[in-house]
Amino acid sequence: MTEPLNANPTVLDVSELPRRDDISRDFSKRNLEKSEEQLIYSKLRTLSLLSTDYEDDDEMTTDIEELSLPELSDASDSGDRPIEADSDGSRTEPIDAQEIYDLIAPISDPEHPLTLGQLAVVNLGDIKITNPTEKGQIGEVLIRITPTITHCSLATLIGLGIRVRLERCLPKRFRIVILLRKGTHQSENQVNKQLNDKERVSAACENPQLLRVISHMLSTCQ
Amino acid sequence: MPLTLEYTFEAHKTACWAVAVHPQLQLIATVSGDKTCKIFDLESKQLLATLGDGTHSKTTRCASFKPSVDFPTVAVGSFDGTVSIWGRDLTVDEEEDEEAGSHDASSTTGESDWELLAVIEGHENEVKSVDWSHDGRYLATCSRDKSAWIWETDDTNEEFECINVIQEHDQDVKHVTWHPRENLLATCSYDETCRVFRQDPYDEDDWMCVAKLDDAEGTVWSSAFEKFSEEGIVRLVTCSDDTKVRVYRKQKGAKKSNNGDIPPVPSSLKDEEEWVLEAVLPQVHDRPIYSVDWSDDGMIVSGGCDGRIGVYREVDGKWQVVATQERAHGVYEINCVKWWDGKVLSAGDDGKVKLWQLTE
Amino acid sequence: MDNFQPELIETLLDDIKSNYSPTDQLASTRYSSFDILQHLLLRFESYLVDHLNDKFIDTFIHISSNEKDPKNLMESFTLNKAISTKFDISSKEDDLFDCVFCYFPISFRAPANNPYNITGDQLKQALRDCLSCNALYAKDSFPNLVEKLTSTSPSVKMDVLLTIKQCIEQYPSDTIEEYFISLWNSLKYEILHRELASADNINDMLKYYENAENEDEQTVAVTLHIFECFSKKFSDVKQERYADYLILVYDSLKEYLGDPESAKIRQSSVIMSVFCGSNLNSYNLLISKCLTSLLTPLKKKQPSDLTIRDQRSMLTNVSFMLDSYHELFNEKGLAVDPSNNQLFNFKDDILTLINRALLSASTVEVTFRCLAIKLIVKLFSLASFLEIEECQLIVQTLTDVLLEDENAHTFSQALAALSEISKEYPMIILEFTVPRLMVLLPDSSTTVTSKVFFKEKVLDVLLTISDNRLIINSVLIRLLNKLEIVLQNENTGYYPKLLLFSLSKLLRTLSPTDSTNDYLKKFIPRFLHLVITEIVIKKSSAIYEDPIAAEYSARVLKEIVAKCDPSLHQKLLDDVFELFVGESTTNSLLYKPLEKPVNISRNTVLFILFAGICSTIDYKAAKVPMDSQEFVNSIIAVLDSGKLELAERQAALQAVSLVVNKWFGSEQRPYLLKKLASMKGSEVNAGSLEIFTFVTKALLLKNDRQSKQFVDYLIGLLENGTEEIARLIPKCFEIIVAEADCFELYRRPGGAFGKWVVFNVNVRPFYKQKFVDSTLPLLIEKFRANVGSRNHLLAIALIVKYSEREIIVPHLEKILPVVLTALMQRSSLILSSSLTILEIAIEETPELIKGHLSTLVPRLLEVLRLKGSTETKIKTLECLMALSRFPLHLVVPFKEDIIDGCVVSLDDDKRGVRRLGCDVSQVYYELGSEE
Repeated sequence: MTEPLNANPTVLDVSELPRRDDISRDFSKRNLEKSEEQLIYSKLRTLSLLSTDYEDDDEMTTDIEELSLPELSDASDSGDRPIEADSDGSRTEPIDAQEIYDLIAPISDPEHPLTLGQLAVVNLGDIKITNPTEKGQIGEVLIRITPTITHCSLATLIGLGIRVRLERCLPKRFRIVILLRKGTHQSENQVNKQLNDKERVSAACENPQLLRVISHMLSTCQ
Repeated sequence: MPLTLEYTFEAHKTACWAVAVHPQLQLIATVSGDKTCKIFDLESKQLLATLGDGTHSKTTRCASFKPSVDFPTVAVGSFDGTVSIWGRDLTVDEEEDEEAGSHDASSTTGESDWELLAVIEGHENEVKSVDWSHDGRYLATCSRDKSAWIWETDDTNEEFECINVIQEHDQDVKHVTWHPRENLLATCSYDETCRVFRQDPYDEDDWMCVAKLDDAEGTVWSSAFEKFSEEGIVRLVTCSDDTKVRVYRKQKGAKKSNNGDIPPVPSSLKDEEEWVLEAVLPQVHDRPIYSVDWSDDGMIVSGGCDGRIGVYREVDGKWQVVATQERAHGVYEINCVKWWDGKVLSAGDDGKVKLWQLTE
Repeated sequence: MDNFQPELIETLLDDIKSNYSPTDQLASTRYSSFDILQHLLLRFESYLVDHLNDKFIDTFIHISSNEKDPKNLMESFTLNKAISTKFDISSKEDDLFDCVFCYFPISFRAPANNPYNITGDQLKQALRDCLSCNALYAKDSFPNLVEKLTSTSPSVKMDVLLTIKQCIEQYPSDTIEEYFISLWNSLKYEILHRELASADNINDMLKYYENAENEDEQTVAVTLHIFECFSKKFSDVKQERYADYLILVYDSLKEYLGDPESAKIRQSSVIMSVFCGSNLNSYNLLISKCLTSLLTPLKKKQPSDLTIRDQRSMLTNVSFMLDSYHELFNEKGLAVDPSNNQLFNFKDDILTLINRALLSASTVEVTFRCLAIKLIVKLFSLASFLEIEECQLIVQTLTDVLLEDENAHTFSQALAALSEISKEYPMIILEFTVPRLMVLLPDSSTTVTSKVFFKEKVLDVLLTISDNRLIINSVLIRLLNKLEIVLQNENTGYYPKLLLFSLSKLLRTLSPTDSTNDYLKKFIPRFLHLVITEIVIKKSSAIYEDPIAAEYSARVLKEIVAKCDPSLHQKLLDDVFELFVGESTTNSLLYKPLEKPVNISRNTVLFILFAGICSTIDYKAAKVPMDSQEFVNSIIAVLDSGKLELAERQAALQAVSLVVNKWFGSEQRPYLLKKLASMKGSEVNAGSLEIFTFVTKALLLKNDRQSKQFVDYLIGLLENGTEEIARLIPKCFEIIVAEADCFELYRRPGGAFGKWVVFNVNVRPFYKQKFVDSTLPLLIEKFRANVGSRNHLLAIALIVKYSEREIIVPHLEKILPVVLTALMQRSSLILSSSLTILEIAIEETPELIKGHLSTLVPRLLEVLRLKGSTETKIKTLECLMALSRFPLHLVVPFKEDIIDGCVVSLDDDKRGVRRLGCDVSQVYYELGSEE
């Protein structure tokens, strides 16, 4: 029995992986009580015949939850109120590095029973995103991956898995660039070139064996 | 001088990889991730045929029309490693014309009058480019297997004999293209070079590497020869991953050997011609450039990953950008650009082929 | 058979042996031969054993050779096992063994109709039973099994391991001793050469591998269970040889255990923990050795030379060893004897390790510090392990970490740990943690106590660690004190409301069996006085007439009322009426007189407090201390005056609804009929309709027979009412079916056999189902009759929105055509309900949907493409997701279209939509690609 390559990578616990702050614990926003107030008013309106909010429901673009609330706060109050008024439920949430991370961190490593996030193959800090606010513009997602060891033969496969995941999950306006982090791999340039060659990637995705392996890697996403 | 959109062919639902233009007839062929090749009439904008539903098991990557008027023929290369040859049987067409009523319905949808003439096998894996030589006698194909093959064909396009396998490249051969009048072939590769091969005048089956153009810092994606040039001069334009468009020039006459100024030529260059980098075109792109083409009246067009189309013209020996089109296919990438009758055709990842007019 | 004499057996056996050739016979005939032997064995077992031992075995071997038929094999294995356990096989063991082992590893997949009624697993098990039933087989079975262990097929490996496990369990320990070394030497690699999944403890790890999807991973669990079996065989400390072998196990792992950088240290610790945790003798023999090895770096290196990596490794692996203590002394409940339990000798070292992580390591070392905190939780969980002083010290350290470490992960880990500890050691938390948190709560919002610790965070932490009654009692009073002080200093409402909100959440954590009787004396009098004064009387107060402050206060009162003894409720209700209606300024609910009297009709914000208290009063134990009709009339009068703010009006309506539901009986029927008649007789307006709806809701909840008339009247208004009123009717149905806080159900033990019963609301089971069953078909029918009636559609949509799935399912067939129409509507309310119905239908009655896929899928994709509400988009995606579970041949044709259609959601403004879009596409990308 041979010992697997890279038998002892540092493994992060799932709880340590970077994630979007849980809203209820997001003290900086100080919206603990504020959001409760909104909830109370929304319940009251549900049970009220006299509040008029639901009659203007004809437009698909209005959302009942998102209609502006009656002005609740009196002026003297404002000193202690959160600065970021959070009453606007229609606020857009642009795609950011954390979201990219959340898409790719749960991908399984092809040879460990662990995810790329746990193995720190992908790290939040190594994801750069250029996301123009106007959706007709072209953006870019640049990911630097850290193979677990410098001669990891599976670096290309891991990179390919990440690319497939992102090509399936990101809008087409993003150009995806996947690079190995400098000095982390013996044949860094070769792998980089291969991972970013559109034609090769596309052909690889028509290779049934390869696709099966990638399917398996992606099966832990969701 | 802006580009204005004249027409959009909703050719495919998935990425359109290439568009090929018939040198004489008003036909284009488009290929795609949907594994088919579609033929459109450029005048009527009608879809004439959908070829190869089921013929290729993987993406169709490239197409090229054989330069002949009487019997339209197209070669389609696929990631499945094969090249299919399709011909339109004009005799059948004429017969059908007589039964006017039923003809209309079938001419727009059917491949009734296009038939599969041959399937060429030989490459180990993905075929990436095909091109017919100027007289239609030779067909060049290339593949990820690092080789480019030259096939000789007969008039019926049913027999293809491989007469040469070019193995000079170290990596995938991405693109092949013939000179418009000579038996001169340019090959582009992942190994970051473009090479030029010339038929041996003493041995028709032998092709000599006469130039190795290695200025690019990245994959060379495609190249095109100048259509009309001064006697004895040949120019070639290349585009590459490093976002540059380069123009090369073959000087008149054969290169003198043992000239001290010129670095020793690799042994694989059997014959020597002097090719120099004449110009790097003004920067238009900021991402890999996948395709270039040279027009009959001397203009160059380029397109690529950044979704931009660039058009260049030479004025007093200097190249100028005469037009650029941002996001020609929306947010999608452009895979191929071609000239047709002074207009530009572009094929994009959105599956569409667009026809652009250059307006003053 | 009755006449069959044992003397004939020998002849029979001879006959079978010489004249019967199994290879020439059909399976059914061969079956008879097994059958004969079975019968003989059943009837003449002792005769056979005494007289025909060898002959019977030979006959069996004869008839069983070359058998391939699964049913016959089952018989053969059963017979073999019986023979191996009952007969003397010492001279035949090799043949008998070969006769079974030649089938190993057996694999059999029953054909579709399973004519044999036998599964592959049954055959495997029967074979395993043969091999493990007699220790004489050990000399053949173990070497052969070990050899097969090298198989690359996970399922073969799994079979081998399970067989080894069963053999070890069945064979006596002196047999195991003989093969111990060779077994250990091959089995250990199953663990050592593998990257183990991360887990906090051995049990989680075993669970992970036991439930793993692939057999390759399952083998890990089986191997570890084999080690358990090894350990359990060490039943007597006098088995010296066995002890030697166990020490040999340790010796072969010692090298790894002592080297924190070894790639095999984790695997080794897991193995050792399994050995120790399965048997007290093994534990006593090995635990000290293991910990000595694991803690080597602590002894060998200078503290400054210890790398974080070393220490992390020690924490992780020591933690695994503690699991063995937990297994023996918590799970198995063995008595702990600190003087003889060697783990106690290492306690100081372990605590040193933890202190180094939490007191001296940089806060950047998040993983390291979190590991230490997890280890603390584990230490606290070990039965009788920590001394109380040690607990106190650790809690102090943890509190320091909680208050000082700014890293979010470390913080939440420390908080979780304190919360866990608070369940068992509330006094320590009260003494060392609560006071330090209270200090951080400022006396007014302008005071800054800490830059990191906002008051919101302090309150959240306090709530999280208040997992115990003692802590709640203390925190409740402290927060009330704080509220008093804050209200003196404060001129903005936010902070007082935050405190009120925290109080209500704190009380909410009480369990229904906690009694709040003493709060009536210790808490309510001060609280109610404070609240009435600040909200109702004192105009300069920051929360004067603030409906939200009143709502939080009402929740506080509601929880206390709900959990105090019902015998106290009448007095409580009397007192409330005395204060709110009788305008008294003193009574037992106040610790000192109010400045001036208050009245609910005048001070309408009191409705909010009243509805809160009233909602949890036990309606059988207490009655309204005045005429209930009169009381309702007085509230309606206030409502009719039309001066109430939204929150107050809602509270007043709830008060009406509560009184009608809880205290109206048959004597009030004429009163209600008069109300209905007067509605019909006069022009309806929104205000009176609203009151009417709340009365209807109250009646429906208790299945009052009058309710049908009320509902019918509402349905009638859909068509007969003015346009303005008809538009309001769907909303009335929403009010009727939506959950209202005042009708939240509280239960307490009180029914027959101590069953928990609802005491605060008169609610009948299935009232909603009854309502839906009678109303929905009517509405659907009317919708069809008035095609395109938006009000009918909306009413249907709203009822569905608030009804549980089981209630809707019976109506699906009738609703579906409505849904398909509704999917073309652009009202997000209607769309959203239609999608809800659709999702239910897809899961519950797929056969109704299957025929509609070709219209349904494009319609759903169209909804997705339109700029709908977030909710609509999410529901649409959920429907598409649900469709993916249909049989492949039905959905695969839509695969490409659905993937294309989802692209638009990948660029949605809302993250939730994008995430679901990704998931749906991913599912469809993989659809039909076989494993």
